[in-house]
Amino acid sequence: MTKIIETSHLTKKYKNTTVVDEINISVEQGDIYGFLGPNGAGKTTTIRMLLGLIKPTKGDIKVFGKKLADNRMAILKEVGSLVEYPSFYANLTGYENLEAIRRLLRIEDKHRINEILRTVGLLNAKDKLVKNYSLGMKQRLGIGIALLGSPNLLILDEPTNGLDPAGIQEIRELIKKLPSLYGITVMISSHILSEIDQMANKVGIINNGNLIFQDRIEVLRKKSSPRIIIRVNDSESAQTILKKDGLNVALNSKKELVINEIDDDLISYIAEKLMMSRLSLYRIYEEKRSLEDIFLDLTTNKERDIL
Amino acid sequence: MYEHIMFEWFKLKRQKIWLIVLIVPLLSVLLGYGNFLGNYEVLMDKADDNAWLEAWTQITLFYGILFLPISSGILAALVCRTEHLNGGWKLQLSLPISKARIFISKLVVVLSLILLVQLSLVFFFLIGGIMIDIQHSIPWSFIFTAVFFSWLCTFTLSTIQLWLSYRIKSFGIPLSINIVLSLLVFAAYTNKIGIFYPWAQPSFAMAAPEESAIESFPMFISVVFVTFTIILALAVLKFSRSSLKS
Ligand SMILES: Nc1ncnc2c1ncn2[C@@H]1O[C@H](COP(=O)(O)OP(=O)(O)OP(=O)(O)O)[C@@H](O)[C@H]1O
Ligand SMILES: [Mg+2]
Repeated sequence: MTKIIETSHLTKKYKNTTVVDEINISVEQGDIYGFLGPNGAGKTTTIRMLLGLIKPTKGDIKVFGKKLADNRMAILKEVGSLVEYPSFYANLTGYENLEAIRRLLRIEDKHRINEILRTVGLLNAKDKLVKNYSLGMKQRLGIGIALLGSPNLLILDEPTNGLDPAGIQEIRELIKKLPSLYGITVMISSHILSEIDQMANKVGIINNGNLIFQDRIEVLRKKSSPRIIIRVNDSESAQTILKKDGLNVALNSKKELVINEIDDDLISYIAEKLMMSRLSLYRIYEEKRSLEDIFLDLTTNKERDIL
Repeated sequence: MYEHIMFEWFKLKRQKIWLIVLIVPLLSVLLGYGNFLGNYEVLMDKADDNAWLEAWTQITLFYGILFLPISSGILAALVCRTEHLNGGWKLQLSLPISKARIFISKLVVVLSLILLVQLSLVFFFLIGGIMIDIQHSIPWSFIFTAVFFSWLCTFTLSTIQLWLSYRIKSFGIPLSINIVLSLLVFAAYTNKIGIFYPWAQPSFAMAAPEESAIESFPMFISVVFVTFTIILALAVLKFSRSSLKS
């Protein structure tokens, strides 16, 4: 697989605070890479560095296999982006915004503008001044501008901000189609895992500037498979006993045993084992966790050991 | 480069630029002729005085020292305003355009607009003179030399103003700085090194021959050219190296 984005030890410091800390992002051809993290995690800062809008304090960025620092212009020709808030010229109409950029990028095909307006659902509002657009319409225009130059890589920072549910759905369907239809690779940031889950095949989770998870989405989904929680009177000794049997047991914040398997025979074996060891068994229950729970766990630094 | 300049033009739509192009020269001409007529006897004291030149001196008193540097500042602020308002810098900087080109295209647009302001000044000047029925022959070659060279003299000024407007998000602050620096032109007049002062250069170049503070014209033009080259190189370099503020 060709690497489309590759960073090594990418770091950004403002004064003495490290906002992005030695992250190694890897996005491959045809990926829809979900870049997740809570507010202030460093998503926008990372994306700004990927576009060369700000300079990294440390580390390297390669896009399409080329070093960003030396090939910014060549790289940007093939990148469409939307960073943080949509950018536009409020004194122009939606059509004129796209027309201005079409001329700048020397795109010959004039029909491309209407095509884009249709794609992002702004055809009816194309002659309205953008200052009179609603937030969601501006967001759509921003996505339109990002798509205008037929990019090979699309970098979208929270593109569904301010969109209504129908709009979110439309944009999601659009993004899902991009890799298969046009071979576009997409990096999309969000702080909602369930939103990313419906489009991404790969996920990177950033928290406090650290990339704490990066893998295929299935790996993350697996973590959300149900598990068994056991509450006993003395969880430390219970853990030691079970570990001697080669079982993988962790403790959660409530000092309960956590077992990532739900096999009936195994559970009854564990229960028997604990009772034989004269421990009091208070509760055994199955816990089902959503992806969002996993995400919260990861980013709030609780229960890291279980994962 | 052509697309970039057209891109800058295109973005000025509905920005009421024509107001500056028309109002500023019109106002200068009205004030100038007012002064000229009010002091007619004093100004036209010598037999060979050309009324066109005397009126021109009165007009450029306001225009060259105050209105021109202030309008070029407003124009510089206007070409940056749309970028400051809704993430235009971010948009442009994430497009495949070199930063140097962004800066130079904006400068070209500002300078072209200043040229329009200059031509509009000449237009109103001639209309005004005809209306008050000046009988002397129009000093065409002087006027066009003055307009052309004072335009060249706005190059350095506009470069500095463009840089200021890029760095300072507000519309008012660069404008106030600009007004203060324009007022200092009066000080530049009494000082030998005044010809190095970018805010003073346009008015020096506009002055009628017998009023001129310039001792040697070739020397003056070289100074203007050298300051512009240095300032432009610095501005483009700083602009290209600057990171985007959020
Ligand atoms: N120019 C700056 N100077 C100082 N600190 C900054 C600057 N820009 C961002 N930061 C800090 O960097 C951290 C990460 O910000 P960033 O915008 O990258 O977060 P984010 O993940 O995009 O958050 P959100 O989900 O809210 O958009 C924040 O703590 C922010 O305060
Ligand atoms: Mg952000």
